[in-house]
Amino acid sequence: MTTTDLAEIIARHLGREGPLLPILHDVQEAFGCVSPEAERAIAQALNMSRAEVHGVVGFYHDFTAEPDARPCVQLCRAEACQARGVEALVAAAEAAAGGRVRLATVYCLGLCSAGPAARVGDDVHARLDEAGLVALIEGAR
Amino acid sequence: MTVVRISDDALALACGADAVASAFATAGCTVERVSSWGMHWLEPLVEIDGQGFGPATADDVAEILAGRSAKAIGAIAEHPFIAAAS
Repeated sequence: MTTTDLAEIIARHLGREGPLLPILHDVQEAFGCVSPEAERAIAQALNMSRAEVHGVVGFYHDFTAEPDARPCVQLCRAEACQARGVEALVAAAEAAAGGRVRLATVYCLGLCSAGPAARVGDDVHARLDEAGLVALIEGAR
Repeated sequence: MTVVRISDDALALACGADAVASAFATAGCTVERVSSWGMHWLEPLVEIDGQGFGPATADDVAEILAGRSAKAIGAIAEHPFIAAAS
């Protein structure tokens, strides 16, 4: 991460109402994480305390303190997906993910009527059975 | 040219609507992406001249176009789920 890149991202959103989340999203996207240094710079630019920024970063699981190069598969384990059987798929999903894929639990992808559902990048997948979910995880890049 | 309407809302996409749309385009149809009728259990729901077919997969395209698909649900607007709401 270079200071210039970070300053550019901050400057891009500074005039917005509520610039913190857009900045954090862009920082996460650009650098793969929101580092303590980035938190400091963002806090200073937005006239917030570092604790406030850190609180937001820590609250949302989309933001991470360190980069993780592994592909991420988000598996919904909220009520509707549980009712449609997602819990029975978890063991196979974890085995398929191993150490190569980061398997993250999320609570609702908004596909309740067609669960179990998962998300890889910007793609969502519904009506997953064990074979479908395992194939999705194994194909995650 | 046959005009095929297929939803591109998130749930339809999650159920494979893009692959179905692509298969119809390959078959020479004009594909229009539209919003969903809300009948999620039928997504991807294919609409041709008001007639519905779903849940469709790319493998269903030939039979749908030949008019002998087992996934035909008749006129969408007359489906009880839609008719009851209108």
